[in-house]
Amino acid sequence: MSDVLEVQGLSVSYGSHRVLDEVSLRAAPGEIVGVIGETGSGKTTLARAIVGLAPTVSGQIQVDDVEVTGLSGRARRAHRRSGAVHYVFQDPLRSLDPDLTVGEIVREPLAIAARLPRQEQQDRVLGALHRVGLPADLVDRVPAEISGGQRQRVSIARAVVGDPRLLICDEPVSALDASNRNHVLRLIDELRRDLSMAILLISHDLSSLAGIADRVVVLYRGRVVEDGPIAQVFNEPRHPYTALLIASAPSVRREHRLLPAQLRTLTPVRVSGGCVFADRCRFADADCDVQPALEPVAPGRSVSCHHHSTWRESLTAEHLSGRAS
Amino acid sequence: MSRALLEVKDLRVSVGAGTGSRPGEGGIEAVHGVSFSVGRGETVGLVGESGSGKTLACRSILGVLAPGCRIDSGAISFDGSDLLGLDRQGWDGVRGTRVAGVFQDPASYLDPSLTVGHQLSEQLRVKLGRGRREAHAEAVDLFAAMGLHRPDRVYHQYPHELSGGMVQRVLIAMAVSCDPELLIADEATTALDVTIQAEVLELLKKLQAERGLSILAVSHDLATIAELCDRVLVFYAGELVEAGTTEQVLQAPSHPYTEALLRVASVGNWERRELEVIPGNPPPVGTQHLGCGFADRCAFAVDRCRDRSIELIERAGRSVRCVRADDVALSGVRLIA
Amino acid sequence: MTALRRALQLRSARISLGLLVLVLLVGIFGGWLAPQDPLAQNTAAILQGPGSGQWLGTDYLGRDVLSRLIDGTGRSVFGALEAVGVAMLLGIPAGLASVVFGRVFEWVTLRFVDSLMTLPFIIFAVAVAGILGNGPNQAMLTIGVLLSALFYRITRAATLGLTSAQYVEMAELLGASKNWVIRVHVWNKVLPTIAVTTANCLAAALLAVSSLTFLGIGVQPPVSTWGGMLASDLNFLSQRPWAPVIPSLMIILTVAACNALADAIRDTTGVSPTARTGITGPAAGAGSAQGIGPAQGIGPAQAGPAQGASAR
Repeated sequence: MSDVLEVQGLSVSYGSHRVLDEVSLRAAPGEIVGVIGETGSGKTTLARAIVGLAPTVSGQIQVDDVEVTGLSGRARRAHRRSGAVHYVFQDPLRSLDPDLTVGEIVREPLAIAARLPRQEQQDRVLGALHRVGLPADLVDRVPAEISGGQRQRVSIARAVVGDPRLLICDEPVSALDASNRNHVLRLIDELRRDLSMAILLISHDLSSLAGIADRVVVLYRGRVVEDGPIAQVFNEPRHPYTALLIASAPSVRREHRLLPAQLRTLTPVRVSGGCVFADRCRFADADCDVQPALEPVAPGRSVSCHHHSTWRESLTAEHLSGRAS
Repeated sequence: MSRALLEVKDLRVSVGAGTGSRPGEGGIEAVHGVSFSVGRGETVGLVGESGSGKTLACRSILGVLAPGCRIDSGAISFDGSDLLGLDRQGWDGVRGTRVAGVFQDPASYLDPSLTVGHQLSEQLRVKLGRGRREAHAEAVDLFAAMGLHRPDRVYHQYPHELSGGMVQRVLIAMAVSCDPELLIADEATTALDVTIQAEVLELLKKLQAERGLSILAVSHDLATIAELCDRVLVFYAGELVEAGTTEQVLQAPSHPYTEALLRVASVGNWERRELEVIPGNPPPVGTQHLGCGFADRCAFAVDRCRDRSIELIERAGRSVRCVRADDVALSGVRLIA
Repeated sequence: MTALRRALQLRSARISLGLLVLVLLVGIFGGWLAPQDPLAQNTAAILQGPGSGQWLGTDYLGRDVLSRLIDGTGRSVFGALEAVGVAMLLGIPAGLASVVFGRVFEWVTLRFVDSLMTLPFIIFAVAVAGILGNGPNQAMLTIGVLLSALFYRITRAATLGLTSAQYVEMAELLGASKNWVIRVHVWNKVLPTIAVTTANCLAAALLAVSSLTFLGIGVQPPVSTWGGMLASDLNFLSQRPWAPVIPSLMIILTVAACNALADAIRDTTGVSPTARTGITGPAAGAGSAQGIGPAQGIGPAQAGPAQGASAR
């Protein structure tokens, strides 16, 4: 089965500032692909570019084999109405119109597309609410009257009411409490199984991908530094930045693992034109003045690093010689 | 036995009280009689979801409750002296100099029209009476101690020119500039990037080691508290439900809510699986209930959980507020090293 | 209008609305309510004080002041309504369109409105009267055109604030047309601001009408208007020193009622339209982890859809 989403060599700039540089990724039906990145990584821009909200400089984006990069005006609106791609924003308080009822909000995509008779639209709305685990009597409430977790579910209900092929979730649980996070993540997991959608999960927080993502793409300063099956990438990172992410994430288990201090460089140096991570990387050398290409290192895995096979050894060597701080 | 640095006894705080023409009237109780202490050089973590009362508790300690919030009863003493009865002058001698705070969203605590260096040296001049040149030099030293790169350059930068992590370091610098004995960190790392979070946590640990600083950390994220703190206090629905050392609470939790939090916390398992959830939702702030507030969501609840008021029982340096603490076998996580 | 209904919870709003309805009724039925013919002169009984036949006395031509006041209400009030009506008709659609229809239209209308706003009300009205002739409609039209600039600006500001809201972006992502976005998401949020502006503008227009009729522009004697009465009263202060108070009081009360109603609507719609975009304050991140009771997350930027439309 062909991929639902295929992004190739996507570059996005705002003025002279390059936000995304040659980013490629793909998502198959029924797959959850996590995109991990911190501030400035360009992950939100990536999400927005896929739905046509960011200015693409070069590259291609194909949704279900339909090229969407060049679309504008009427064609863009028509594609959006087709409901192939839907978006879930981070903060439901902002993405839900405070004056509309839950029913009206969830119905909106169907009303705009205007392909189904009214009654069937209503049925679909109730079906979507049921699917996300919300009681039907919520249809007459406004967003202010329901809880944060429920609001995010309404946002998801709106996104799936039209049976999309691709769902993009931008930090879907960042604004939620511990009690609600896993509820919503579990919901997203169920939805992709039931509806065979491809899901792109954008996050800055590794734990929101745990247990549900199949693959992960790690972004740093607009470039893909590593991608592959999530367990492989996070258990044995090949890129120093990925390793730094894993090492930095707090855990309830104080387990043996690399310390962030072992991966950070002691003296940050401004490097331009070369590897985007070089100025923070402990293992950078003259080779890193050249931007490394994204290369496959194993089936389904790629890394963008000159030293991806050697940096761990230098770490161990340092550790053994007692220089690691 | 040395006296604890901070002692909170039976604190009750209500919110939603009237402001303006009828201040302090009405309101619902959001913190129901919380007691804990922080020793010298100790890091204590308050963990709980929003609405659990942990932020209200630490804001009461600093005396910075929002309008409409009110301390109904209880005692807070710092190094033996009462904090609740302090007037403005009294607070000037405590806040910033002996007890300091860093909060979430650091940028909102800085004046955007002044350089960060100016703001820090202003603090040094006002609180410590330093001269202008002295304060400048000391500020640069402080920035360097906080791990800011090129501190002399940072001195002349405005808050909007700095990244989130750098701004938080500036605020920590301001907080420790007068060498306080207690630092209150309320969700201080929550809004930061993961890699920066780690750096700030390391900085806090370093400060604790170097200056003997006591830290009271507040977070909704159990993992952050686990990394930073020696002791953990678990808050739920305005009450303290469990307290103990980090090892005790994480390896052998005694309260079902703690166990639930551990189950849903990130444990580095990346394989596809069914995610753990805690059924239901925390009760709305200020809900009055007889018995345990967690009973409706608890897998182990029985009748006696709901029909009586439940006390916090202390035993062997730990406390737990659960009538079934002795009956149920709860599982924790194994801490290695 | 829910905005109005909510405003009526305040006592000031109820009183104001009551007063305005009263004025409106007098304006409509004035002709029949007036006890005597407002134009009937009685040179034998000029400048009389309040008496048995004339509750407010007579003016310099022996006409019953009360009747003239009642009769003149309609002219003053409807003059103001005409001006505001014209202003709304011109200003609101233009304001909406300037946000929606692209750069060129926006630029052209903005510059046009800028020039309108530089013109001083009264002097411009006098000038227009000089060119187009001195009639009531010309004067009101002029005021209306000038006031439309205000409606344009305010509608535009309110709409601009709303179009950057995330739920509007969401609607665009769903493939909604601009029409849909305005109809479903923007219009009902702009209405409260428009309501406030309308009330303020009514006050301003009434003052303008009164000023113009005071100067003799627009409606001319012998028909009565509040401003006209005020003008003639000032000539006979020594005989009836309290006389100017009467029409002034009418003007003041009506204007105050309009402004009070505007304030009530603004106060009871709570936050300004910009905050309804749901732009949360600093505490985004892990929810409003402030624990300070009622969610304080929303920090509205009180942008200036310039509320106070003071009389110009």
